[in-house]
Amino acid sequence: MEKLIEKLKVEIIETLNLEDMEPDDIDAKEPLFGEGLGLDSIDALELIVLLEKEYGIKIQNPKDGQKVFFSLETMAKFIKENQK
Amino acid sequence: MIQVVVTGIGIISSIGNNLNETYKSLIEGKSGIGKIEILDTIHKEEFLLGEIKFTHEQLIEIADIDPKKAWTRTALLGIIAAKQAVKDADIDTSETALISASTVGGMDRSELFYQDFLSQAKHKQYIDSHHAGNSTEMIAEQCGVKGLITTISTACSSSLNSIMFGSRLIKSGKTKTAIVGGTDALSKFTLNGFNTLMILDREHCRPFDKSSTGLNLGEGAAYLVLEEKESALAAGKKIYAEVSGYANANDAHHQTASSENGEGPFLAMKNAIESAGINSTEIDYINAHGTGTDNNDLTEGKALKRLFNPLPPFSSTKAYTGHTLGAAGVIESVFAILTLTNKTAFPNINFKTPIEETGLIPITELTKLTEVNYVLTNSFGFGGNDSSIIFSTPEAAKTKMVNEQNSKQFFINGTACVSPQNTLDENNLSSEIIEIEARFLEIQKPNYREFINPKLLRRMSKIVRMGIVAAKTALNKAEVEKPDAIIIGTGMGCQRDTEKFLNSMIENNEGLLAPTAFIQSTHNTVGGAIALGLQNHETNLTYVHRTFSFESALLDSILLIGEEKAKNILLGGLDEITEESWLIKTKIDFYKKKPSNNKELLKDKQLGALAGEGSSFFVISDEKNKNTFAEVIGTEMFYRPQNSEATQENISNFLNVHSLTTNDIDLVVLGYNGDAEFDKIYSDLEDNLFAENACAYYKHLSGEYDTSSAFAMWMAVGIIKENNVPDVILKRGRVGKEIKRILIYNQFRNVNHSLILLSKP
Repeated sequence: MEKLIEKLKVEIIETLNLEDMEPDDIDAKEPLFGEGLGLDSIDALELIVLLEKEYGIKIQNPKDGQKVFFSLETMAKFIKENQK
Repeated sequence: MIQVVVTGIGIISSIGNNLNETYKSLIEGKSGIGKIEILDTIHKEEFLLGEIKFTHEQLIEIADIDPKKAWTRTALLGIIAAKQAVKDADIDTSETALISASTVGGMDRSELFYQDFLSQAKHKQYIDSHHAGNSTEMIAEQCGVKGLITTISTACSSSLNSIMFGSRLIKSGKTKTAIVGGTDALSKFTLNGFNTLMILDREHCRPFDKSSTGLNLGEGAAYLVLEEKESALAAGKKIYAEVSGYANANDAHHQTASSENGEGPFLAMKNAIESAGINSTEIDYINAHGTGTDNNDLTEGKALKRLFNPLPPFSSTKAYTGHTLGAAGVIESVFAILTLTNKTAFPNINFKTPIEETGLIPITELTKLTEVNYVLTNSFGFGGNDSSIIFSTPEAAKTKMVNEQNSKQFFINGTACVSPQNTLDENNLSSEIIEIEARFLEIQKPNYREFINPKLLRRMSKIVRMGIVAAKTALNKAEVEKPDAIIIGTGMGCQRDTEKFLNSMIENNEGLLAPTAFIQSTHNTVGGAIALGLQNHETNLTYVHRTFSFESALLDSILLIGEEKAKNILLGGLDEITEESWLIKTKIDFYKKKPSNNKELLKDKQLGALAGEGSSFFVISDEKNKNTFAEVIGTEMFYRPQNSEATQENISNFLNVHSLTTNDIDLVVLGYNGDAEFDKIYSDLEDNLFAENACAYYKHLSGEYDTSSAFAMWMAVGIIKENNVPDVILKRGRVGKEIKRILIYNQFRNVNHSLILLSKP
């Protein structure tokens, strides 16, 4: 899990072009959207593509993304549960 | 006060190839949405589209035009619809304006040949037809239009904005008739783009229905002929409707999504109703934007409920045609006009269950209305761009009393420029010029972080960044916080994002694409981003017609101030150069292939111009103050003059309109770009019409791009303010002690010619 979270941090920084951020700046429990990291709905769509590209997991309904992408922890948990 | 009426209609969409067929489908509840048959995409089995079931070749035949020319599907649809409108109104097109809208332009061909453009360029005849202005020019040529032509692109609200601009032109007396509307063909680019946003319904779309999961895309074109009411009545013309009110507002909330309360949609409708001189209870029917996406239907619904009590009958007709993007506004205007003339409202087909939060129920049956005086139609787009128009019967339309404002003046009270030179911190060109030896000229990169929140910066491509920097700087200099409108000209818009999405679509064979580049590929991304940053809800327009782009934006700024719709307008002209766009345009000799030295530009013998980029912004105001740089006297555009005599005549006429001759001009700024073939047009003028004038040039500093005349205007107003012409731009002659008037004349490849006249305030 820890390893996966670290990997996700790097991928998110790259995909979303978070120029100023280092992996250590992101807290795994912190909300990715709104108050936390400040991501928005367009980023959520980018993360859906990331999940499919890197982990082969498809999210059909963008509304499902809200729960999955709550934090790095929830995202990693979702990947563990759904990866074949 | 001049009133504007509709005297001709032309339309083609998936529900009919002309007005009669369209009306028949509407009353029969017959949708044009179905399985994909024409568009060659891997998503054939996955999505439904509102396709016009003709191939490229069949459309050429229907349009009755030369099959050997390089047509785009967008242009073909536009030609078919515009020809119908002209015939219907029976107008003399030689003095008519044409204002068209498109979002994808020639993408239907570009996406087929893009890799070829970058390599062999066997299909190079389609390179220039990619431009959003191409379809407009093809329509103008096929319809014999000789008046002003220009193109608007503000995503899905585009063609309502072209109706508004056409109306303003007529009301201001600039033209008596105008063909207005829009055209957009389906492309893989848009289908895949909307797919990345996850807002495409896999079933037939169901606007305002609880179960709806998105929209269906469609294609089409429609044009209205607008005329002065008085002369149309005098000529005994058939009048479909009067354009009695309109407004554009910005949601300033998000790049693609509407704000929770639908602030932008609310303001657009409210302001349109006010401009018609009526109140909301007088609206008899609303053709809603109603795309079928959760976000639109919920927020539009909320805005409708906020504004109307009780809510008049309303419906979305998107389930008939699909969302036709740049053409949607005018296609649905035609439907609204049909409701007005036939007293019949068309059903919101496929609707069953209302959305819980709003509980709104649109009309679901063909509905006879007892009295119809005013109908309203909505179109909302990316970049928070929201438009509403009200059509009325000519009898019901209110005649508004307005003050005659012939004496309005237009002052430049703030400027800023990002360019390949160090211009951002200056009011005028420095005498120390940066010498550059390069294939194309790139901007001196500002410190973006000083101007833009890094969180927002991460997604912005260069053109958005340089737009925001120049816009903010110009507003600061003018000491204006809240402009009353943001009007932008950009020939090519967000090229980098467009290329990024196109390349990724081709490389991945339409699979697994990310949304950001697509969202930002719309031409009005910069205008939307500026509005978002300023939290500005005012009119926000983007003109995209080649080297008319900036001049169109300038002209509309003047019209808006003239109509007293605005006091301070943020006006900008900007374009970016990319490696790929440069490479592609070297294939058709638009740009030089090998590095050129900017200081020796006029001696360079290579074919083509030295390409460049830049962003120039102005605050244009109706009042002179301590910040004032210069006054704008006027601007004029002319398309493909027959010969050099015609060019001279156009320039003389323009000066004559302002009671001036070349003797009154202290400096002429010419658009020499290093392409000897077309620079000859300028040198001929120097030898003849401007033989006695001091002449300057500037593209060795800015490079050539569609809105480089904005750089020229930045330079010219600085010269007037400081009464100093830098040696580095002076080509010939000497200027007198006082620089009172400057004329800017620009053209690119002898196609789009423009004039801007400035004076000391």
